[in-house]
Amino acid sequence: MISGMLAWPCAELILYVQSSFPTLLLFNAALGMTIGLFMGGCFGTAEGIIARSRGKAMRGACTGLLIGAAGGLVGFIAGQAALLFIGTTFFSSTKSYEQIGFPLSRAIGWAVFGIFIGTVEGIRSGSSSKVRNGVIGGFIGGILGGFGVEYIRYLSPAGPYARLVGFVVLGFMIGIFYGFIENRLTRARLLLLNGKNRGKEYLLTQKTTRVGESDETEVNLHGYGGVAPVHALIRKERGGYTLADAGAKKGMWVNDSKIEETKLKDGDVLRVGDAQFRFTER
Amino acid sequence: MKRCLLALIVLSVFFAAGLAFSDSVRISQVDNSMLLINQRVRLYISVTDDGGKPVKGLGLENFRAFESTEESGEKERRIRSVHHGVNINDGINLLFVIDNSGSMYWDGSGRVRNSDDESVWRITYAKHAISSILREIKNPLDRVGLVSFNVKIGQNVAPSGNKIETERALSGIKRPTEEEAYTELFETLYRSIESLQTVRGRKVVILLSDGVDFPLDENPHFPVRYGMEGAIELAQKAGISVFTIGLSKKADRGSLSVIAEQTGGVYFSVFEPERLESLYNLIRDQVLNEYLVSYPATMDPATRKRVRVEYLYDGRTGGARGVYFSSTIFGFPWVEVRLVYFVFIPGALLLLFLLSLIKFEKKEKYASLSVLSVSGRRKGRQTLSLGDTRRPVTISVSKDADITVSGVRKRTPEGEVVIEEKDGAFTIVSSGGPVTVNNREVKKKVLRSGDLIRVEDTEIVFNGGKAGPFRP
Repeated sequence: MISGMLAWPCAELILYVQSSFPTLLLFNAALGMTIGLFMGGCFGTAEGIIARSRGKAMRGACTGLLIGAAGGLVGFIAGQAALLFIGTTFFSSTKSYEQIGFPLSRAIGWAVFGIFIGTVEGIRSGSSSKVRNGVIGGFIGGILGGFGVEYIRYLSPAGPYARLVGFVVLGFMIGIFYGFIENRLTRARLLLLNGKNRGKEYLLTQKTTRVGESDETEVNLHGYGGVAPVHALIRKERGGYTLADAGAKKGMWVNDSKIEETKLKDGDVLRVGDAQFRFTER
Repeated sequence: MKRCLLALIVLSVFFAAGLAFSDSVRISQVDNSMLLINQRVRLYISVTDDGGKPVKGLGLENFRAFESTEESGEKERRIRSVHHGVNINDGINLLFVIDNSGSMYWDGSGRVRNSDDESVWRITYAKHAISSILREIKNPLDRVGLVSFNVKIGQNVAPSGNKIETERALSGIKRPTEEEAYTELFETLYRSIESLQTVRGRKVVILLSDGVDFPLDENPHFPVRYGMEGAIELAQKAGISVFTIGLSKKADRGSLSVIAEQTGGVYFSVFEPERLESLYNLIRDQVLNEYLVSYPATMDPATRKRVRVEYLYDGRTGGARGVYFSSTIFGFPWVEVRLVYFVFIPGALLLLFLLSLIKFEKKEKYASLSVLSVSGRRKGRQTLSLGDTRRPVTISVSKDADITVSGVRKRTPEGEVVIEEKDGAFTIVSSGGPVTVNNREVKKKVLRSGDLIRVEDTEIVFNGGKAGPFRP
């Protein structure tokens, strides 16, 4: 939502000076990069903000800005191409096509854009599962948000804030559906059972998930005692997940037995330093 | 008097000269497929002399292009290229749409109506003309198809390079029965155009009819009707030119000429079916000799833009108009930019900053027990604080227990689990069977923060905060 508020005025400014652009391609590139920049940047900072890690937030923002700009560039151009193609198909003066055809073709353009924005987090973290979740979530969020942009504007055609509301809806939808799809499609997760982050769930979407105190880790245990910077690794392998010591020398426990490496089963209780998790696998 | 007469004669000569030296210019198709790639709009333009023959040898200097929108006035665009005969290189898609109503089995004059002599039938001439065209087509990139119709669509062959299939369809056109004696001209045209929508390249429909649109009420073959306007709109958006041929005096000149005019085609009125062959060749010739004129589009925001072309060659002039789709994802810009709209930027940054201050942490002063799941289903927040209890905490199936668990498998109401605190440490003790802590069965265990206790079907998490004052 914040990304929508940031991107909107800048996008409107570019739209206002559309006539000054030499080509449609450059115009769409500028629009796409601007919107992608803000949306990608905000998506990238989310993890860091939740983890209250300034370093993670800043790194996420920088990566998100770059990937978002690139994704916005490609997504917007692809979306515009889809719009031109589909728009030609719906090019008609009948009211029903104007009520359905144009919004549909624009929504598909937004959906293509949403796909690229949704993949920001996956590309940033190098996770193909996250990319997949981002594609699906971004597409659904983009198309629904795109309809939102269209029909809000249809309800209030002269209202300057109609597009802002639509834009916020778009960002909201992409975020919501990204999270929803990620949750539904992730097979395994860790539930933190104690301490200040008690109740937090970590989705195991990457090939290797690092557990530790460092900001670099995916399961960050900053503030928990007895945890090494990178304490353990959880590897996704064919047939399941394996927990391995990352050389912390402080040990790990699974179901109260000390281990160096073991295959995890659904329901296992893991202990890393003072933190305890339950491992769940569907 | 003599001077007046002379002036009149001179004026008449000039007027007639103007008429005689005015070529016919049509925009057959507006192609915006390159708009995003190189900002170019491409116009397929047909220029024919007053005999209907294509004018050849035209170049950049012979055309001028203008673009306008509803909001902005006309702007001249510099034409970048003019290519002649592009359709020869790329091939064309020709779809013959033939009326197969009862009157097509009359002779050319319409006087002989019940003859069994096929040689006099109008349909026979049409078939011969098309066969002849098929034999003449040598370009392997040209594709030909056929649709015949009366009350329904009969033969239906999509354009392809397989001329044998088209010939076979042509031979398959049979005399209609009495029940088929209707003419669904507009609906057939619509569906023919629809079938060409996704075909790539230059697309031309040649519609031949000797009558008028004569639809059957509630025709089951056409449950949805689009009418002439629908067919024209569809042809415009698909960039398909429709050439129409009225094969008798009774042909619907009005409708057929409107269809042709509005789709970049030409209407021909023919009374002698023997002329069909030369007419089909003329149409094909016109399409093959079209010019492809390319110019850079304006960037003015608009859903659709109007194009006007002026033509000048050897004292002869002409003009044509067209439209194309040009909307953008965002649609139209504001009428004016207000600075107040940019307040959202610092507002959003402030929100982001405030969000970063939120601590997504849980702090509990005292140790607690939280029910995590019952029978495998996650429960909401059900927490029992242990800090201010004065007695041991009981967990059992009994309703009097501090935490009542579900599922009676091993445990009797008397077999309860107790959690006691001593010197700041919490110990779990089971009086009945063993209890599972961290997937291990135990009778007694000192609990660590985060230990997962399973009693019957209920999972409970022990969170060790500070131990509260335990007053016996």
